Amino acid sequence: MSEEESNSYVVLISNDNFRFVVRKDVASISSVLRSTQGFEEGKTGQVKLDMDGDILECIVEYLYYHFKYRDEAEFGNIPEFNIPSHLALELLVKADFLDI
Amino acid sequence: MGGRRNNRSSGVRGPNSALTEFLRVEGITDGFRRRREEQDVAEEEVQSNVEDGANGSEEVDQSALGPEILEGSSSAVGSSRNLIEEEIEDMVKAAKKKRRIASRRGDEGGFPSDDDDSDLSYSDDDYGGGRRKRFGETDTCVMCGSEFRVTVYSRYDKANQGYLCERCNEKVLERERNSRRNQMNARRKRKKLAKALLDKRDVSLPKLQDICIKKISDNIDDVEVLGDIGQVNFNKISRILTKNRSLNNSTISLFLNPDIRHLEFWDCSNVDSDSLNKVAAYCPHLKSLTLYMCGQFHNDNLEYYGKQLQELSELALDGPFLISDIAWQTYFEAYGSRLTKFEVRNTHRFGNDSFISLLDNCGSNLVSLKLSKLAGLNSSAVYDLLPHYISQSHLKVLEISYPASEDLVTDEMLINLLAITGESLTSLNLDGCTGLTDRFLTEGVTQFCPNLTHLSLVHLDQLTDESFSSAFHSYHLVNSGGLISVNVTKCTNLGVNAIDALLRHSASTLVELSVNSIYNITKDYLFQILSNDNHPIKEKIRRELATANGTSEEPGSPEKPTLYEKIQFPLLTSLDIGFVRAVDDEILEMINRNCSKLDILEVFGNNRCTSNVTTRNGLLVIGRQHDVI
Repeated sequence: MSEEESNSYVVLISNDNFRFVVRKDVASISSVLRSTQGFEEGKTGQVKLDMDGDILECIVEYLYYHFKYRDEAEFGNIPEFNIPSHLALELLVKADFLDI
Repeated sequence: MGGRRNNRSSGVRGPNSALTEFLRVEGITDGFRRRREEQDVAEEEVQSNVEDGANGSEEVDQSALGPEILEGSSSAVGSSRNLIEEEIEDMVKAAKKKRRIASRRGDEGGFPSDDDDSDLSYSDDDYGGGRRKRFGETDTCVMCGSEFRVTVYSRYDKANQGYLCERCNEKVLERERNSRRNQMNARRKRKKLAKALLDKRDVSLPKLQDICIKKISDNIDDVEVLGDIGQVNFNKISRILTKNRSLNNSTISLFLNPDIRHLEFWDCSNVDSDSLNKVAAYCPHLKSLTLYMCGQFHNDNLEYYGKQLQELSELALDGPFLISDIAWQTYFEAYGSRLTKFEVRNTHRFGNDSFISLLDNCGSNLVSLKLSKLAGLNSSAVYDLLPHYISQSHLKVLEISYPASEDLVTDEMLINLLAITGESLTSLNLDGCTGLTDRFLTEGVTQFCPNLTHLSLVHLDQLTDESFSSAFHSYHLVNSGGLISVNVTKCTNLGVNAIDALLRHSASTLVELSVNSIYNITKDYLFQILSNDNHPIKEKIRRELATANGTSEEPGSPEKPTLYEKIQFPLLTSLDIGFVRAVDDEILEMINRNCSKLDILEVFGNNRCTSNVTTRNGLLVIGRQHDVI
């Protein structure tokens, strides 16, 4: 991954207009977000997603969690990722959509 | 005497039974043996001889058999005997040590024994030359030097030749436990890596989906905690759970709700018989039920469903191989009259009698009948009964696919059937009925099916290009509506004429089309139907044809090119054109341009389709060799 790419950012925008500025290489963990880069969203650097802010927040947290620990996965001893129970169902639907 | 024993204890022992070993390890042997030794000296002599192994000539020194901690090893009387004995002892010791090391090595890959003995340096083993105390005596710990009382549980440290006090023993134990844990962890890691390798993926973090599913499973009994997301989303979640193969006894209860009328579970392989009963118990008003991969669906379940689900009229089961022929019959006899849609797949137990019973009890009500891969249904006479039970113009959906053998589903049977119910039929699926020939098309489908919209004829390799095309050329007289979905995958004898006739009839209505593996389709044909009628190449062909018509046919003249008019595909959304090798970048580009509604285009096996073609937004091209996943 080039220096430039690892330093560039995309903005994920929720339904209710919460904006999350996320590193591009972190966002690319989701194959769906990765493939948006070839289209309109790649030029504007903004990806509108059909989900609420709290769901998107959880997703962004997970993406960073995944980014941070993916190299340590095989050694075990990684902290568990916690999600609030009341979001579990909706989060599942959105996670399925984003393929993460 | 006993003192002498303490000075030099022989650890030589012969072959032992597992029981002896166990008793010895447990420290039971000693007292038992001691009592016996006191009682019966002669017996001990035999015993010690046996334990000595080779040293059979030795006489027993009775005094050596005093009440000591160490159990029965022999002792020598004289110094000469001592020497001999020592030699043997050394040899046996060395051999034993070797064996132990070997066995330890062997152990490393396998499961560790819980036996504390597994460590060489710390052992309760009685060989080695240390001075040993009896139980209950006080001793100084060889590690910390403090005084303590020797008990059965005291550990003998071979390296330092002495017992350990309780505290030091704790430490040693802790150390051993740690090393064992590390070993286990290392092993677990190796296993994980190997497993991931076999699954062809990297070891990775849990997916967010897995985390969500776990959360849902943990809170399955408290649905309110999980948040309300509406019935539509529940169906979606049911599908996601199925996709992740996590529908099981606990997650299934998420979807059971007394108000629902329709239920679909596409993978019930982890749902056991009791939980399947819950479906009927919790949702008594079900009208339509779909259970796929329900390998644990039992006779009793079917019976219970019959009793409980009074309103059930649509039943679809895939893989219910535990349901016996008799159970099917009982069910149909008792409750069959309610059924209007019935589907069964992938079971060898659904036999001829079951089928007759089905037809007998609900044949006339059936609106939809789907039978697929039923190895037990193997009588062509029974298949021939089908037309007699079906009501006139009632059946709308019919699937008979992949029968047990190809002579079961015949042209005659289908023509009879279509003559009766063809008028109402909207969907016909005859995948894998390889015994069918052109006749069922020319005399059946294209004569009697005015309302047909879905046609699937996978793998009918006896269909010929000519008959297929002539059948479809005249089909507009019967069916003017046109087909919506056509699947002629692997009808390998079809060619340009057949496909052209099909497209002329239905192109304006087609939404899904699969012409996978019809490799006789030429590039020229695809080019012509996708290009405008005033395209220079077409003009040229037209001129050629005109001149050819003017002049008389010359024998041996080169084959006349054929002119095909452009075909519009206004509704086509999904096209599988895989393994039609004529498709290349140019055709791909034309499809991209001409089929404005196309979402999914499959081009597996067309290795002349490359990434050079950029397709419009919204069109997904799957199967190009160059695609990076």
